[in-house]
Amino acid sequence: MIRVREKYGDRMTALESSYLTETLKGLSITLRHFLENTLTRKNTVTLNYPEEKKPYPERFRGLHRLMKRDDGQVRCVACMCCATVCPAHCIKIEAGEHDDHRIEKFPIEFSIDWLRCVYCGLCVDACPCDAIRMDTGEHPKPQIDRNGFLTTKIDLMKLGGPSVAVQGGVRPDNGEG
Amino acid sequence: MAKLTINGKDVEAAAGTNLVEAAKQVGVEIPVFCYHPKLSIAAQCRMCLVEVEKMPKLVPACQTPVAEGMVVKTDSERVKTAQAGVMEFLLLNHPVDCPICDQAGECALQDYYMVYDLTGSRSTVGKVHKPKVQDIGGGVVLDSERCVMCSRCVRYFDEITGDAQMGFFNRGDRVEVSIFPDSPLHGEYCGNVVDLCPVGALTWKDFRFKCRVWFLEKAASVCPGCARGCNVTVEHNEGKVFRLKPRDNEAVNQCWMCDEGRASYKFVNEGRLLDPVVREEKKGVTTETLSSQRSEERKAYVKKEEAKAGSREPHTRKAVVVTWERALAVAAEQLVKVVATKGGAAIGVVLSPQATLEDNRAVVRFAADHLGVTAFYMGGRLDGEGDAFLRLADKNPNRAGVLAALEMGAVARGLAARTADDVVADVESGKLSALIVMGNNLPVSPDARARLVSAAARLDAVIVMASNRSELVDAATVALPSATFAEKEGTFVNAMGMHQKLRRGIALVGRALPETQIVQKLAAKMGFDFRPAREASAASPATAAPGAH
Ligand code: SF4
Ligand code: SF4
Ligand code: SF4
Ligand code: SF4
Ligand code: FES
Repeated sequence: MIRVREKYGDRMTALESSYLTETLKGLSITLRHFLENTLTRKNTVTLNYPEEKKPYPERFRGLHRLMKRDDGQVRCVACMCCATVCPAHCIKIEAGEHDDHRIEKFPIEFSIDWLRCVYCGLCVDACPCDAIRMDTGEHPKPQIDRNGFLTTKIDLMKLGGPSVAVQGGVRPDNGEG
Repeated sequence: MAKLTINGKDVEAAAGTNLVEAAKQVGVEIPVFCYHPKLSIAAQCRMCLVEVEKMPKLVPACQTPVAEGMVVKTDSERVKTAQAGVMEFLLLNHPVDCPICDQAGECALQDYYMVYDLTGSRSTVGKVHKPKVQDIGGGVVLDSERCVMCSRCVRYFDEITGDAQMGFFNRGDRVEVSIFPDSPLHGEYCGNVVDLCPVGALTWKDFRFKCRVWFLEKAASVCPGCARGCNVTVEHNEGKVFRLKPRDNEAVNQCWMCDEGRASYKFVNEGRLLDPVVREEKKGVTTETLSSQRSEERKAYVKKEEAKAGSREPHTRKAVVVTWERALAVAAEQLVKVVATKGGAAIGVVLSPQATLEDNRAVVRFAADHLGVTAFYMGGRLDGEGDAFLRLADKNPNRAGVLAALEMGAVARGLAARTADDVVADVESGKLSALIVMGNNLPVSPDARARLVSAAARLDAVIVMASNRSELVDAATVALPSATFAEKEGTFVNAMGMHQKLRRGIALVGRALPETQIVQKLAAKMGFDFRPAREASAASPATAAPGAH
């Protein structure tokens, strides 16, 4: 702990103004902390990341992931609800026509810029299809340039898995559609 | 005239007006699906039921004409129950596909649900399924499940185009709207059914999935497709135009437009000339460093240009992307030289009926007053097909505007616009030694165009103001990027002589500028005192299109 001594007036004594004893005093405090922290680690507050990790708070969401349909395709139907609600404008979706009429619309490309994202989770709330979740508990890895944070559909799907929610586009096979 | 009250408000309406229109006059909205002012009354959706005093049952407002002393209520409990009931019926088998439905955001069913229903489904049986994503031709995609059976599309083909192309098939909850067997939609006016359809049952193939409608910004404009000048809104987002939609104007297009017109925005997004390009006779000119987002596209273009220029012996001209300053300096230098040695009569100016009245007027004034040009020609696009409904054979929106610009600027001196074929003849005969061209191309046969391009290599100056790349742009000594109709304000004068305003939609693409500004800058470079904007606004006849908003 740092001890604070109140002093009134700013005149220094002759000894003080020579700085000699004061410098030595200061150095001895530094030395004491150094020895304490290296030998006993009693008062250390820093972590030796990444060898040591602190558990995240229970409700930490982490990075997004794109969920998959039962057959492994992306669940997202490119409705743009997430891109519309996103306050950081960091979701870019290019929609396309799916060969399967029951799916009809799907994202040809889906990217999130994790540098711009503010991790508010609004995209997850907005999604009508349980296609995007923020529950990986991971945070973005350091990158050497900005583009490294632009995460594409393939990478977002690698984090994803099947969803238990009812899958859209499923209908009885009545020979139509 | 009949006096009546609607929700306690006094209304006076002409006899024969229906209650939907009468209510509109006092700001009361009656929800409708099947009613459309331009189609016959079908009164089959029952969404518009209202209560009229002394009538035992609720009546459909779309089918009930106003009468003296009528007392109408559109917000009573009985009416609300009826509206919620109709909504429940319509949604019974509706797929509620909104996440993948292109109509979401401009869907009557969505909007009315929020106002007149707002309850969950009570149905315990499964929904009836019908075919989805059917390409029924004419650029229209049909989803039978989403249809609310309003029959607007059926009546459109029965009554407006008169060729009965759609109908209802089957009965009860199996009923489906569709085309007739082996007869896909055809004709030039299929897109209108997509606008008519209040839900996402009919969607427009060209626009499908390109952009969500709530992202679109809208600018009131005029279709550049033909001389009719249909009033449209340019719907755009982030510098790209996504679709043109008709805008009501009783005097021009009512509320319709043709399919060709719907596609006439494409050149705004594709193949644009983004930067000023100068063709130098000698090699070794440095390309100036430029900051622009589309550098990749430009580099590829310049490379292609250079390869092309290299093969055109013996007139080896090297295409160089330059700054506006440099391009204008080169153009000014070339023009000054021609005027000094051969006089203004050796310069031909091709005006563009694709450009606005103001732009043409600026070019005419600049050329006639300051360069002494006497040879003006009509550019634009070649004639195409026309019909008796909207489309005209003249595929230029502003031919009358070019003539008006010439009249104001040059007819006093006995000048008139000659045809584009005359340009080719005059260049080949050696009458012209320089050209100033507005527009991407000349309305001449491919053969004449090729001859012009080869003859242009011998000219002292070919200054082209173009929005898109073309052979003519490739042959130019100086190519200046100009703005399209979607990027500028101005006036088009249609074939009926109506002056119609264009509002600016997207921002200027690349480093393009409106022609008015280009000439202004060019004139300044040449040391002329020239202010086209002020003169133009003073002389402009202030006749906005009726119904233009
Ligand atoms: S968490 Fe928030 S900021 Fe990040 S992508 Fe989702 S909506 Fe956008
Ligand atoms: S909200 Fe969901 S379904 Fe819609 S685009 Fe975003 S992730 Fe895809
Ligand atoms: S028609 Fe309307 S309510 Fe039906 S799926 Fe499309 S947007 Fe949704
Ligand atoms: S397709 Fe559209 S316009 Fe035609 S009946 Fe169905 S809802 Fe009405
Ligand atoms: S709008 Fe009146 S019944 Fe359909």
